[in-house]
Amino acid sequence: MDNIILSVRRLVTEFKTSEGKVIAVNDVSFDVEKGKVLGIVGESGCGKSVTSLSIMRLVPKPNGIISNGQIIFDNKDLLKLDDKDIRSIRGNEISMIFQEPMTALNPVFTVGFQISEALELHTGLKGENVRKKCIELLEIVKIPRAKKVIDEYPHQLSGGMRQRVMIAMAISCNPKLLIADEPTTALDVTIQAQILDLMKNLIDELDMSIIFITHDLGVISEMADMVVVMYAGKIVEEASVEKIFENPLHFYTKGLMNSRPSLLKKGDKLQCIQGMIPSPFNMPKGCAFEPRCNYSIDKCKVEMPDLLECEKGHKVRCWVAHQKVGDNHER
Amino acid sequence: MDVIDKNNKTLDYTPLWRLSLNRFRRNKLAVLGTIVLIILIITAIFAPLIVQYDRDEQNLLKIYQKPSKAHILGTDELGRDVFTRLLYGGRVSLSVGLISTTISVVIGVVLGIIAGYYGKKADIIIMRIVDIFMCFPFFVIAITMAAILGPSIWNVMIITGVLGWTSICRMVRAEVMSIKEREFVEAAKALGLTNREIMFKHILPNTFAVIIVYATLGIANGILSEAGLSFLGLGVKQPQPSWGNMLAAAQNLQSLQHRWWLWIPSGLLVFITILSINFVGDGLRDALDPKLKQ
Repeated sequence: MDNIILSVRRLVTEFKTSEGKVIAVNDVSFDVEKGKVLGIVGESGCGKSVTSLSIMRLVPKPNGIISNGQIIFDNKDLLKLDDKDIRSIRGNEISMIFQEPMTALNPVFTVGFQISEALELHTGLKGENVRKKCIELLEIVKIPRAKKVIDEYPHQLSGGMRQRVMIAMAISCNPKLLIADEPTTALDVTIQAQILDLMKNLIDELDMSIIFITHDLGVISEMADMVVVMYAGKIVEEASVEKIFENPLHFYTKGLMNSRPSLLKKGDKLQCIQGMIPSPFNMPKGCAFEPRCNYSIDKCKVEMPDLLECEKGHKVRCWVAHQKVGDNHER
Repeated sequence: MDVIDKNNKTLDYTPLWRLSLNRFRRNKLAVLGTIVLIILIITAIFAPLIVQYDRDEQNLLKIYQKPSKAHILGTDELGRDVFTRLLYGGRVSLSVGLISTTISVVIGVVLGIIAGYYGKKADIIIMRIVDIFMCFPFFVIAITMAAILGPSIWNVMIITGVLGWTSICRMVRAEVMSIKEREFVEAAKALGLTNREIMFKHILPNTFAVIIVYATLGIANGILSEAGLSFLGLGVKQPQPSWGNMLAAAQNLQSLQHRWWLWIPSGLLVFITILSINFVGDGLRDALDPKLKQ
């Protein structure tokens, strides 16, 4: 298992609220391979971002607790490290790009200052060298007139430029793993394409792995090697990107695929998945997707299915899919 | 800086201080306030070189003299030169304002950031202390403390400083509470910074606008409190002059009606100083805030 950089095992993250306990991430396990991109897809509130925050150990305290599981990164269990050790990993070996480039940069410091902060902290570079490295980084992320931008303030830059700066910050210490939490959601489509292009190039150049969190299936198909689909805090389907798009097995994934706009069916209304994510205080006893699923069977109402491998490298959490596989085997 | 200039000579990059200076210059009132303050500070520092009399030099043959060539602003009840004492009084008033504000800003900002950033128990404890301090009527406490500690310039500084930190603490706390929810704080955590670095390196600079405005108002307030306490005989003691106790010395009907040079100049100086400080504070806030676009 040498090629696995991050391995999340049975992760459970809970939040204490005034109305009771909310399990935001429930028994999630996945692996990230070296130099590959893992996409995490799901609708708002399904636990994507909490998963990434759990990996960084940034779940807001004291309400959020990682109550179970292991996060193995480089043979170290991140959940067992003390505060000092985890800080030396943050920004250095694992770094993160945030969703909102508008607010993720400190408005009162120059871009150069903010990039150099992480550099000085983790690499020990000083003075002139830091500045050179900053300009180099800005050039890597294809910022025009990098030498000038380094002394500018975030408000002087456009959204796309700021996101590039965020990426420059994130890759400044050559991290082994980059967590990108919806990095393109706040950008328009052309800039989005540029940023995605840039990130793809960076994977090749810097040999890092990425966890790419998004609700945009188009982006996933472009970027990811492996895809994890999450629903209500659990993984419902896990497969390579080709398999997910060619042959989605879970009805939730199928629903997501159908609700994309298509160039072929022009003029039709967009399909949508009926209903809402169930309230975390009132989870159904069986499959969490059952209330919204048109194909549910009796078993779905009473028992939560397990995440089982239906085809090689294609896991799914659905009774109907499991049954079909069973039928095939009997034949 | 050098790296850039070697590679690209035509670069038209303006550093922040120059931008701020340009913005500050555009504010006419702020520039005026700065000039007035600089004059006041210089005359206070170099008072001995400017005037020809000693601070406490008495001349009982020449009491209550009207302004003349020998005494620009006349003499007081002991024949001391009023102009000389005004300049020396400026030393007291300005340093009281400055030092008391420094005390209250340091206490208020540190406690405010801790309360706002950590929240929960720290917040509750600090804010209740603030509430308690705010319940005290300022002059009653100040008078009591001055009575216990004895009237002196240092005690005035400490009293106004220690009693004045509550409002800045509340303002900083409120600012920090909103700033800490922004994503760049989370981004800083994700870069591996410690809480202390985040509080003082990232959040504090975002609250400078509030602090600067408060600090300037605080200096003005300190000068006023000094004048008030000295006027009541609890601040700076004679023969050391301050604008406040010079006013106090002139508080009889005779002086008020017939000897304007004893009270108008010192009152006017308090007024002008406070007005200039407020103008400068206003200009600084606009000039130093990088969030404001030019």
